[in-house]
Parts: sequence; structure tokens; C-alpha cells
Amino acid sequence: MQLINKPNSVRLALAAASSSLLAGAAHAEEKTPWLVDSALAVYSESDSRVTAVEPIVALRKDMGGDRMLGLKLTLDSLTGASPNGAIAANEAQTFTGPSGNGSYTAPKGETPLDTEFKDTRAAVAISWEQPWGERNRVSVGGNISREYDFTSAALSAAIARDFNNKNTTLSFGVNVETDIIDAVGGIPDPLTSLKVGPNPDHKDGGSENKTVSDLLLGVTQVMNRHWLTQLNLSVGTSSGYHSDPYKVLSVLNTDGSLSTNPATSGPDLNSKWYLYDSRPDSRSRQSLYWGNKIHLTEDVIDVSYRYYTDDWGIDSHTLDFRYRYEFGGNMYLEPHVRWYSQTAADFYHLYLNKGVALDNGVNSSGAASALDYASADSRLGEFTGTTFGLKYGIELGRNTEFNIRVEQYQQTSNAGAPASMTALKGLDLSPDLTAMTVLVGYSFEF
Amino acid sequence: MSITLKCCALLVGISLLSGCSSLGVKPWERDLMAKKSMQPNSYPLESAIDDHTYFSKEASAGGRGFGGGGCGCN
Repeated sequence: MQLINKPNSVRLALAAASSSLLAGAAHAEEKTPWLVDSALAVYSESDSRVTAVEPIVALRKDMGGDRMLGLKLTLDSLTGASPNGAIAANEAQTFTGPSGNGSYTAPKGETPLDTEFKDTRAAVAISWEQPWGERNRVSVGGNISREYDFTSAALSAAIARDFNNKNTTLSFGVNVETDIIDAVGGIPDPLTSLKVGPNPDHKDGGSENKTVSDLLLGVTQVMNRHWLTQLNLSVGTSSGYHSDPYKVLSVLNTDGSLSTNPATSGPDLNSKWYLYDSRPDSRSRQSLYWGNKIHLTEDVIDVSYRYYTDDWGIDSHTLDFRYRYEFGGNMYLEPHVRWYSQTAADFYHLYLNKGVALDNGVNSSGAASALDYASADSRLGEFTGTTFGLKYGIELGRNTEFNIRVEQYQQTSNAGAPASMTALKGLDLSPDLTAMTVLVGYSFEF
Repeated sequence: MSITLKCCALLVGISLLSGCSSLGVKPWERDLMAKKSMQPNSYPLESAIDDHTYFSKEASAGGRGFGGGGCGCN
């Protein structure tokens, strides 16, 4: 009997010990804090253009066993005026807003800005990350974003594997996103004339879709005690509706004056001629990112370079440099410089010439190579962007930090018209964009 | 696609290079690497806001991670 009882008592003791261990573990789990990261950004363009206010709150918690749950809520409120694609002219230009109600007028010599620009976006993201085996970490995430005329949902998954005593980490990630574009006033047919008032050409109540897929392959390497380097290769494709339903192109006469709308029927036709934006229904892009963190005696340098290329003809280079200067008392100052340069998309046009052949037959002159796509969106043009910023931060305790950053961003383009377009003489056809961003961040645990 | 191939070759090259024992640190030399300021993305919310801003003002996106997206701003 004793022989039978003994193992039982051992089993009981083991059970008691393990349950107390489990209880201890559970107790420890209860004590795991929520890590809260919050930020508020205010972005403001000069000349009363776009103002954006963006608060974000992110929560992270170790659910035990190094398994991290993440939640993130983003709000984004936009107001102001946005360029509609038409260029400045030697006369005032009047447009009806996309909703068909109300109009806005650009004075002579000024770039037309759509004053109906207003939107609020809310986005929720959830993520889960955990170890898988001894050397891998896996993560999955989902994201839903909603704004007045746009809905987006995305799923992502990634795996990272450590090598060489955790000095090398290889990671692979995939992200799939689907977007629904539900434009105010409907989706206009590409390269058709801008109308005044409700547009019969718009697809009634119709919406358009876009799907985006991205793959990311990365390697992170500890080079030595002071230097961490990271190399990422990203490959992405998207298919579906890529045009901007609110953007138009000006059609100009040979002297640069605004062309008169050739269509004469209907009282609702705009007297001047503007055509709706038209872009390819697919895009494939690749980028290579090289990031470095270099720890000096106290300070840290963060320097990165990105090369980007896509099949729309856009190539870009981005250089980013930050110097974190630790000046004691757990405080730091971080100057930041960013330089960005891109080439124009193949189908970017500052304006269209009257007489250009379009593939939908509008104004066709029988030319062999009719235009399939055209956009005057300055974001697809050639330009240089520079950012100068300064950040101050103070570490107030474990996982607790307050910081504030002020930055100025300036976009400069040389796009213009030939001297033969005398009606445009003296007009600034591609005005600089200047924006200020103030970002306040506070992180803590509870 | 040749760009992709070149980038792949570069990544493989770095991976092979990382196999060299001269790179990296011993576990007890990770003091600096453990600091927040030395993490590849030390301030993820700041990066997210920057990615969103640049995504809405420039034609490029991504690189550091899956940048931009989820926004009708471009």
C-alpha cells in the first residue's frame, strides 16, 4: 500500500507545487503593465491650405510568455483647401465643388484650390506577436480605416528569425489591403470634361476598388557594439482604381490661355475646358531601404537611405539623418534633416495642350499615339522635398517619456510652361508647398 | 525586375557577410543595443505619422516597413 501511496503523494506534492507556480505566474501576469504610447500631430500648410490634426494612442501588453497584444487607434481630421490639378491662369477660374453644391473661384494668377476639402478618418489596428520556437517571432495584424469617401482594410503577417547569437535577424512580412473609393459626387469617367453641377457622366452611387499587396524581406545585423544596420527590400503591387476623382487637368491653347470647352450642349457645362484625371489600373513598385543606428559615447546617429522605383516611371531617393544629443538629466535634443527627390510619372502633365489626342476620342486628331492616362497631380510630378526638424525629449521613468518635435517641410518644383505660352508669362505655375508639423508624444505604463 | 534581383543579391550578400564571426557582439556586449534609442524603430508612432504625411504628399511609400496605406489621401 505504501508503495502505491508514495507516488500518489509525490504526484500531489508536484501538483501543489505546480499549481502554486502557476498561481505565481498568474500573479506575475497581473502585474504586467499596459504600455501606452500616445502622440498628437498638428500639420499645417501655408497659404491656408491643408490643416491636419492627428491623435494616436497605442497600447501594448505582455500577455505572458513574451506574447504581445497591440491595439492602436488613430484619428485624423483634415480641413482647408487642396489643389484641384488646374494651373494658375491669366484670368479668374470658377469651379463647382465635387458635391455639385457650391463653387470656388481662383483669382487671376493663383493656383485653383478646392475649398470643399474636408475629411475625418478613424483607424483601428490590432496586432499579436509571439515567439515561435527558440529563434523565431511571428506576428499577425489587422487594420480597418474609415473616412467619408474611403474605406480600407488590411491584414499582415510576419516572421523574424535570429541567427549568429541573435546578431543577425532575417524577417519576412506580407501585407494585403483592400480599399473602397466612394467619391463625393460619384466616380467621374477618366479624361472626360469637368462639368458644373451634378455630373451625368458620374457613375451613380458607384464605388471603385483597389487591392494592394506588399512583401518585405529584411535583414538586421549587429555590426559591433555601437552599430546596428538594417536592409529591407520591399516589393508591392496594386490593382484597381488609382485615379483621383477630384483632380482635373487644364486644357490650354497654344498661347497658354484657357481653352474653351468644345462641347456646347447643356447649360451645366463648364465654359473652360478641364479634363478628369486618369491613371493606370495597376502599379508595381520596389524599394530598398538601408537604415543605420550608430551609438557614439552617449549620442546616437540615425541615418538611412531609401531608393524607390515603380512602373509609373517614378524613381526617388530619400536621405534621412537624425542626431540624438544627450545633454544629461535624461534629456535629449534631436536635430533632423530629410532630403527627398522624385522624378515625374510618365503620364504626369502640368497641363494638356488643346489638340492632344485622347484614347476616348475626345478631341481626337487621329494621331497614332493617343493619351491613355494623364494627371496633373503635383504629387506625381518631379520635385524635391526637404525637412528640417528639432525634437526635445525627456525620460521621466521606466517606459515613461515626453517629447515634442517641430518640423518644417518644403516641396519645390521647377515645372513650368515654354516661353511661347505668353498668356502664362509671369505666373507661378508650380508654387512651393511649405508645411509645419508640431508633434507631441507621451508614453507611460499603468 | 532587375532592380529586385540586384536587391536580392545584396540581401543575400549581407546575410553571407553576417556569417563572418568578426561581425556581431557577445551576449554580454549588448548593453548599447538594448537601449530604446538603438532599436530599429525607436518611436513607432512618430514613424507612423511621418509615413502618413509623406504618403499623402509624395509618390513613394514604404521602405522601413509597410508605409502609408489605409488612407484615401493619395
